[in-house]
Amino acid sequence: MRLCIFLLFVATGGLFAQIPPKVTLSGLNARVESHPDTLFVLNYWATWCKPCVLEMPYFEQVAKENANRPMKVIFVSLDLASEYENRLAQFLKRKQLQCEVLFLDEPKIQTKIDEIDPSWTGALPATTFVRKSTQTRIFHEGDYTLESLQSEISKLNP
Amino acid sequence: MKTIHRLFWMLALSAASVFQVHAQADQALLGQDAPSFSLMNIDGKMVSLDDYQSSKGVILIFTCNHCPYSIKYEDRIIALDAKMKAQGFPVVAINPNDAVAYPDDSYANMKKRAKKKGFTFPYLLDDTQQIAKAYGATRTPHTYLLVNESGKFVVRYVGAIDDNTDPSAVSVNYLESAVSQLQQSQSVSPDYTKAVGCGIKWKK
Repeated sequence: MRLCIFLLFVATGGLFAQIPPKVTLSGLNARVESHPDTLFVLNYWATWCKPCVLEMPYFEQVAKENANRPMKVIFVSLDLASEYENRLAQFLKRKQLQCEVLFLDEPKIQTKIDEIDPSWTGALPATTFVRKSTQTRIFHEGDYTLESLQSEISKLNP
Repeated sequence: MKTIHRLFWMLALSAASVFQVHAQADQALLGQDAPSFSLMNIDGKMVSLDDYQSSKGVILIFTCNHCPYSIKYEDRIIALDAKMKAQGFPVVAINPNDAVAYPDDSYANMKKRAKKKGFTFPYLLDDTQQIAKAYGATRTPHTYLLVNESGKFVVRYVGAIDDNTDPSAVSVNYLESAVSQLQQSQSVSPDYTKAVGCGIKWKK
């Protein structure tokens, strides 16, 4: 009986919360380095950022459109650490995103903005397109429309 | 030899101009005259930079109601105003957001927020967003230290208030340190920092 309750708890746990894995900037970089032929689309966002949330479906859409290409969309959350387990997890449970979500584990992010991109002023949303083998590195501050995102990606994924 | 010399300088100059293009608009204001403004305060009166001629400077903060980063800084901005006003550097806050995109940032809600938090400083509405653009502001909060140098306001620091959104984890108070360096007639260092914030919502 106790086992049943435990199993029930494990089985339904996923429905109540979706806590994303944590990643550091160097961890993210290592990931990009280890898949040189993959175009990584790293979208920096937060649950409280309205334009970020509005553009998420566009990223999901281009991920679907490019499913047969070596391309990986990752939503990198810059939510505050205090909101990691509740607000962020609840948001992800509600949205059921298809693309991977990671939580940026950088408590000193204010001093590491240039590591994401030297031209970034810190305003969200922001997106990096990076592929090692072709030395592709494009940074965009601000939100996308579906059309502008598709056009950006078609230039990089001919 | 002369040609090589000339070529070298041409290259150096073009490299410098490329760098200029890539420097941020907010950073480019350092050492420049602060753009003047005259904006509506929450009490219905206009407040302009020239009203501060008798102070040593002004701490100008682009902020708003809805942004969680701005909210995290509200108490610190109130404390900053109390401390810095006494040293001749009062806070002036400006909300640059499009209230259509963020109804929380409307003029009516600015009044409510200021009353609720007990703001001790003007909270101005940049309705046309011209002032935020003139300062190259991109996010909230985004801070500028304007120093009164013989009647002219000059931008001497641009960036974050301190180095952590979490008040208990702050190790450097950039803005306070900039003011204290100025008081000791030192140059401000660092004079440019960045911070994660909410992108300013521009009108379409």
